Amino acid sequence: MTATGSHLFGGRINLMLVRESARIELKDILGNPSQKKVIVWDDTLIGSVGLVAEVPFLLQLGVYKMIRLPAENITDMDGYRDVSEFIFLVRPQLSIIDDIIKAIARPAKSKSFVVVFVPRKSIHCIKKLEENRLKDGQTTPFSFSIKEFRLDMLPLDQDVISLDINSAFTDLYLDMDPTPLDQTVRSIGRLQALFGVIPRIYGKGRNAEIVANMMERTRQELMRGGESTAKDTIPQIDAVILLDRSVDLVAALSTQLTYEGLIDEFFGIRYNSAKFPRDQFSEDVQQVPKNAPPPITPLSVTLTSEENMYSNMRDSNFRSIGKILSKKAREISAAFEERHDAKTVQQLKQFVQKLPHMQQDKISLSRHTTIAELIKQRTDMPEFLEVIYAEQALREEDNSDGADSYIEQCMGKQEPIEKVLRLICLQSLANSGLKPKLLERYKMGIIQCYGTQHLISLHNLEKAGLIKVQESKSFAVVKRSLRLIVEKVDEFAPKDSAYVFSGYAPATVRLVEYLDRPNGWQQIEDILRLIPGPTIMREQKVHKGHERKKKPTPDQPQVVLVFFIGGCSYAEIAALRYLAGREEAVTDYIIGTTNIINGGTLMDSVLANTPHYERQN
Amino acid sequence: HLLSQAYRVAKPKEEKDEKERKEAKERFLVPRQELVKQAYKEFTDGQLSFHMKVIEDQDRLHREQTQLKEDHKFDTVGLTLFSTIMECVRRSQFKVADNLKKKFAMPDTLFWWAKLRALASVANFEEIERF
Repeated sequence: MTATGSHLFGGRINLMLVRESARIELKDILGNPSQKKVIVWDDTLIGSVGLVAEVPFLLQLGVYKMIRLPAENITDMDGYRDVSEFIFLVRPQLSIIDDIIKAIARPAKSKSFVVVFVPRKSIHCIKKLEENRLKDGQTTPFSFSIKEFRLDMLPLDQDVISLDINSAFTDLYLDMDPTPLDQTVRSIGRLQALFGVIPRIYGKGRNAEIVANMMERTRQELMRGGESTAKDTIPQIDAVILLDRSVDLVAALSTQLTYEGLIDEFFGIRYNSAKFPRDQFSEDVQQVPKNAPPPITPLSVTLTSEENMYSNMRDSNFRSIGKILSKKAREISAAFEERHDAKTVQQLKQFVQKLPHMQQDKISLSRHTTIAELIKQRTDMPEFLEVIYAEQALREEDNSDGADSYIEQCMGKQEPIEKVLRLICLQSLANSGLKPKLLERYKMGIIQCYGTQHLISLHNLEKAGLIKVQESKSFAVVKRSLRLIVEKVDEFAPKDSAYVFSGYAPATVRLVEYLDRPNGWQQIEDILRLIPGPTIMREQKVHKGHERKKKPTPDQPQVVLVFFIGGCSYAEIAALRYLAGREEAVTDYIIGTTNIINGGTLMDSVLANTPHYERQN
Repeated sequence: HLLSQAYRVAKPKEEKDEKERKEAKERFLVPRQELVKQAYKEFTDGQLSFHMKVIEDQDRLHREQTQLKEDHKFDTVGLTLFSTIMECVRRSQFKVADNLKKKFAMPDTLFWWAKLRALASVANFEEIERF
């Protein structure tokens, strides 16, 4: 985790402001920094809160120590007797309340306890606390209060904001729980308060429409109240595009082929960092003092645009990574060679000044070479290649019967069920459904090979629309008219966003691309009708004199917020960055998403191993 | 919506059925049967024909497995059909395996994979030759 957050700075919209406002709020909650306090963590929050408030910052606010739940009788613990305040940072979950009650089972007098719910209070939780004689605002025999830290959105990078709702997909498509929509509206509202009213709203899909309607209503309420926080700010964001995940589930389930995407598929990126086997890395990367035994824990690597080299290669197709790395290696060794040319003292001084930077680059290079090797070990395996070919065939061919035998072969080999179901779903989506006979055959095969409990998995998949009986051929039409399949992609110098899947352009990204063309979405209305869910094109009134006067040009691009409702993948982020990076581009994109997903995590969330009945409690 | 309600009522019971089957086998045979019956009824009410078939098969498979245990003294109770067939092949009970395949209408490809993998795991190359 970075100490400065400088990776948030430098985008078209200064997302540092988002971070700052969260920090100010936290400061208010923690109160007087001269009072010694202890933070008691809900484990699952350490990552997200850590992104906006790092340890040094917390120390400045008077935090003396931190402990994790579950912990018992914290006031009895050695060393905490002179601490006056205990602050619980927790998610609003009933199970956590039990932990809190245990932790303050024997509260010492004159101590104060604050329960801070992130991101929102819940009536259930407050009730349960009251049942245990912990009432908000009480002062005897000890003081107790309840607050909320509205950490709605996490700025992940200079152009990416995540709401960090990992259950967003199952919430929206299985449990019909609208919480992610509510949080989406709130965070867009917050962005409008910081960066001005967004004049144009576009959207596709059912959930996008709900969000647009809710946005309209909140805005009317604000206007009626006579209070418009965003009134005086000149709009910095020109449009928002709300995209329901159901617009393109094919992209969500396909294996990502960008560097960052593959890191996420194989190792999982959480809160901007991923864990790798430590022993693979050279010593200067591990940063362990010499002679000390290396720790056994995996090496956690931070992956943000703050690291120059990573930001240059993260969005490239993995096939070109080798070339990029060797080019970098040559550059660095050339830079080191420069010392021989340094004749005068002046030149020598200049060289020495550059040294720390060069050392940093060298470590970066070594680190990413290792990561690339680890990925290559996997991508070279025949199993991986087979899956990629199968996926490609499924997306490209209109009648992918050849896939049937491959999928059955996977069942026969007892490959992980996630893999098999991911392919079946992909086949169903790419063909706008499966023939009834084939669907039955697959379903029976899953039950016979993986057990009856997967009846639940299959039911969930059907409910979420990931598998269904074929009704139309709409995907084939959308595929052709939006040019989703691009043959002969140049992975080294891409000319189309389809490079992120080596030949498939996500429909979500294509829709964003079409908005930049003359006439925008009006031109493709027929195609939009084939994609499920309503299409939204609306305008919000802007304060007089704040309307955009000139047309955007490559020198003065407009800023568009693309918001994925139900999650987006790193490959889609890469594709949008590619669009903004083209020479003729007149638009910069900020990406908002309920959470970051990949095909694997999406499947996991729908499978019976984590039944959503349990998650509800 | 009604369907999903019926499903919601039925599903947790089915899960419990799974767990109990694993935990206690014969001791809980009677309650297990009741649960299966109940689940079956719920699915019938919800007109979920595929679910009904799966429960029916599951029940039949359980009976076959119990029978196997008595006749041939090896325990496959709780395994999937695929694993049960593999287990039979490993113990060279080819007839039993063929029978199971027929009774549960397992697709040929899946059956051959199960057989092949099982034979390979016990290094029965003569049988593999005979394919």
